[in-house]
Amino acid sequence: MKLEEWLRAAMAREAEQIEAGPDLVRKIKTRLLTQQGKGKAIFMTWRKAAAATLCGVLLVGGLAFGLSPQARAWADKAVISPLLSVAYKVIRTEGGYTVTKLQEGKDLPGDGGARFGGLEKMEVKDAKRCPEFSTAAAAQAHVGFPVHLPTYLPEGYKLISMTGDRQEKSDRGFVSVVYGVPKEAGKRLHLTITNERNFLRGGDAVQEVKVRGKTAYWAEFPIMEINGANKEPTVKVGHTLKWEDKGLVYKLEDRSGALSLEEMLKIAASLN
Amino acid sequence: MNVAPLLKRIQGGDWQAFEVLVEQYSGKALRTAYLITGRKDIIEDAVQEAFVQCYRKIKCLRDPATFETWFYRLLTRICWRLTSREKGTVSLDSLTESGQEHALCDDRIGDALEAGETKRLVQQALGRLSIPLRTTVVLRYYNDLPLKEIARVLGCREGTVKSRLHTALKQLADELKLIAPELFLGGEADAQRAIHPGKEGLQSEA
Repeated sequence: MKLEEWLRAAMAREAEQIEAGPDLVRKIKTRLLTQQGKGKAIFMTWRKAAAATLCGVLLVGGLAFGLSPQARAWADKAVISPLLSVAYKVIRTEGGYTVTKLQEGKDLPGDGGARFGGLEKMEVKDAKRCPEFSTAAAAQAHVGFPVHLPTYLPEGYKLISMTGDRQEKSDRGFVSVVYGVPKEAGKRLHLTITNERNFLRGGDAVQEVKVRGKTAYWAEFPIMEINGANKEPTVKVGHTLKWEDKGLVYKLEDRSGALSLEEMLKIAASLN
Repeated sequence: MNVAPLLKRIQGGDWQAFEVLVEQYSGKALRTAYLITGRKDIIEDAVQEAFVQCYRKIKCLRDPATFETWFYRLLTRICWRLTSREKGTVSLDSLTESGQEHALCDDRIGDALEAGETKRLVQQALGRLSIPLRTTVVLRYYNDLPLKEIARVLGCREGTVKSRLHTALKQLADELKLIAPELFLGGEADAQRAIHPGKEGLQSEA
């Protein structure tokens, strides 16, 4: 007998005892359904993995922003500020800043009314204003150094305001006096008196002159004015005169450009 | 048998048609799995898994004529996987090879002598073959698949199949000469034919 024939017969005989069970189809069906359930379980696992990934990203982001000032600065500039700008509006006022908040449904009762309908004044931060004085004596009392004001003023010029302040920790202070023609906003003459010597810079002076025997510096400076949105800016020439006398630095500044050097010297000489 | 209409219905989602297919192929599939693995305890699992994969992937089967090759490919892969997974365990069937069958089940002693002897010889001889060789032998001499189909099932070349068959038959002949010399009582010429039995057949088929 050839081995092949014997093998065929032997394997057929060996395998004939194996028969499929009657419930094989049912078991296959159950297995299919179970594996489909496992597929869902795998899907759930993916969802969990996605959630875990999200948590990881948040954790890493939190650590990065917590530990890195650069990251915080970037987030403040690129994310936080734009978001806050939606809810807050900062309105610059002449005297300082008025911070207002868009408040949901403030105006209307019931269901809240119109969304973002009302403006609630949250806080008013006045810019630190300098004390204002009506007399030179009052200003002198505050700043602690002599305040001499001009006795001569060009025609039409009057005192508009006088302010000043001094630092608590040092004796440095200043007085700023504004003269002008009331009905002509362009005509303004600023006198600044300070005991801070750094205020005096002679390097930019175009001309050295004498004010009551003291060296003074006369200079011109450009003033750019824009009158209206569609108009070209115009440039005017302002004048400044600076000198030092008895430890105080005086600066006269004519922003209208209307006063001549002689006029300015006359004003400076009249300080008393 | 033409399974093309049946397969078409299954591909259309007909569960009844799939049940018919399972009934038609489950017996042969179980017996093939048994001969490949040599174990009864895992063959039902293997066949169930093969049919589950068959149901899931059958839409990918374009040519119904290749169904058997395709299905046996699934089955053999699963059998190999289960066999390698269960390598560390000892099956009851394997115990019969070491002569412990009497200690375990004395009622088998009463079985027909010839049947018992054949069973012992097949288990012992096939059990000594490696899984790829055993699978090749089973597909060739039990499932009667041509060499080309076996190559497709196993994912190798025909030459490899021929080589495996030759090696397997030589090993079987050597094994059987030791455990059943009566099979080779026909003299040296018969013994040589037994050792190289399929050479002419393999050459003629190729």
